[in-house]
Amino acid sequence: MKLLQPVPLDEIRAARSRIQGRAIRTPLVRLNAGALPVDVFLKLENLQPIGSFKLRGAANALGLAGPEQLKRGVWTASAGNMAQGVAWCARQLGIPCSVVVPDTAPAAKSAAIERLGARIIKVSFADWLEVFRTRTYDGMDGLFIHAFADSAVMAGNGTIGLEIQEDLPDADVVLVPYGGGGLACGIASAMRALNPNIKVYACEVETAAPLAAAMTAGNPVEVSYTPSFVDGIGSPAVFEDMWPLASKLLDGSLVVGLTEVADAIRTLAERNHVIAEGAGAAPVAAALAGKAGTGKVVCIVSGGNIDLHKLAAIFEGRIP
Amino acid sequence: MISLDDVYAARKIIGDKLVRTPLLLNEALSARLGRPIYLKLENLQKTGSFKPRGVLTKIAALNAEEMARGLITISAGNHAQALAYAARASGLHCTVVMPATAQATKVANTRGYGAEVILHPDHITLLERMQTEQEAHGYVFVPPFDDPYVIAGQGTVGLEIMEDLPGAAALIVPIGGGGLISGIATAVKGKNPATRVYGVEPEGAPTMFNSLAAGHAVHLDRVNTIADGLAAPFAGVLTYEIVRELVDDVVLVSDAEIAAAVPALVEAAKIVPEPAGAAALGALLVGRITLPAEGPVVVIVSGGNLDPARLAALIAPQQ
Repeated sequence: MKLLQPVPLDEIRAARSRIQGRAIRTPLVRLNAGALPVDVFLKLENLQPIGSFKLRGAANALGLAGPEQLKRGVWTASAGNMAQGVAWCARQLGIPCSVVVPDTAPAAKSAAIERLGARIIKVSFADWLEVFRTRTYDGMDGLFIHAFADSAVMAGNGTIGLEIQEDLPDADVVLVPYGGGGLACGIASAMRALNPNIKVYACEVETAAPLAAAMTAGNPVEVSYTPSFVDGIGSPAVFEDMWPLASKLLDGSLVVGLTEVADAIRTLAERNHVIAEGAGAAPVAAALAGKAGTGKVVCIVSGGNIDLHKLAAIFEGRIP
Repeated sequence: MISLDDVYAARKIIGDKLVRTPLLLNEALSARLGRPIYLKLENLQKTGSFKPRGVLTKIAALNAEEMARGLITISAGNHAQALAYAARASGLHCTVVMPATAQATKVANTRGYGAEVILHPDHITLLERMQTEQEAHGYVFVPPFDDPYVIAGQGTVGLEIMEDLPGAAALIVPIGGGGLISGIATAVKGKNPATRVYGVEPEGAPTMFNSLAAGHAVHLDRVNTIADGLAAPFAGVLTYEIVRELVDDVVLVSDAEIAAAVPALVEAAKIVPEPAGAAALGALLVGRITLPAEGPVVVIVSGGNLDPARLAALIAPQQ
């Protein structure tokens, strides 16, 4: 494949009209958290119809593909949220959808994928990771939608940046959860073009923080990876195709602990009455820990898909 | 009676001081119920409920002498937080008499907004306790629901819905004392008389349901419901008249039916409703309401103020 480039602003603007009617324009609200040294804003992507931002990229990628490309259906590899995004769009278009999922995927996400009418193929975590590199899997047919290393998907994700710029033109910092990097690089592409002074940081959880390690080392390195309730982000290494883009577009990676993420989930529920999954709360955890400094900090609350029993544990003050 | 013009006037007063809350089509609930289901997210409103809409409208109608005397109210929590918030924003004194059983979060938030909180042990004599305090200090009472300005303010919820979804077939609204539904019905019927408005009350606090049966606004001897936001022990005189005139039906839901709607909203909409905010969906999920044959239905999620420990108990899978 060709080297990934920052997404041009006109492609992001085109994506915006392409996804209209599928993804919603999500609210940007203030975190109701009393007196803080930092002014925290929440971009509530958890309020998207499928509970995460992934609809934006999926809808744009499918909208760009012609009927000829779509006639044998679509497939993707995803731990959950991208699968729901692609499945939801495929159902709207009336085409078949298959999803390769790791056998570690949480039950809530698998069940949600099946409810949307997609076929699930469970594979080992290692085999699943391999699909992101090879873009093939035995028995799969139709158009493959890569969850992050795809310019159409990143253009769709970048529409979040357009909305932030309109709603809060004087934002100082944007914090984005970093899983595959498609969300962070999509938003950073937009912000760089619209507001050269803004800082865009990735957020990772300490049990799986390959971007921070890569930025320290100057190139992708293997890190220890411990699965946790923060299942939407984190992997043993930065995806190689994304590294040139991420290292160019992002100002750094802020790493938070599991306890800080759980506290942020509880704060979001108690103060703003919304549900965030671990990945979606990681930016809020980073902002509240002061890692993004002072000023106006926009946190991308990327999704809200989390098993109820894990959520209940967090609300009781435990780490699930 | 209140008119649609009063609601427009309230909206002008509120201006951009509050959030124009989103009205969102919910995919999962629409699939489950076989028709478009929209959620009006008042849990995303400032102070976590629709209440500041009415309070701001009421305060704007006070004169300087009244404002100088300070404000007082009774509330289990959401009206208390809204009044405390609005009073602080206007630099006014605020005292709130709350039942001792009020949720810790709501009491803490009310104090956090700078109000003096008096915890009273008995739900039924709350009003008398408030009157004693009011007379002792000369405070101005800001009613939680039975007031034309408060009702007009709450009506802005209905106005926003009709602007966002003019073709709404029906709205489902929770009822405590009736302020929210009175305002909404005034706005909705003023915009489109064909749109139905249904009220939902807990079985343990059937103030409006019993008032409609009795033919006048009634007081209850006791209230008992998990929906603390709907536990008003009496219906308003004004709200009763408006509900009788404009609301298509009022139905009851059990605590279990309300409780089941809390995890349903957490999962389907990624939001935190308090039990009062889930009551309308609870009635819809069990088919308690006879809806028009087709068309989109709007469910009002009136608030989201809930202690995390109570939320945990409501969403934890049953053993």
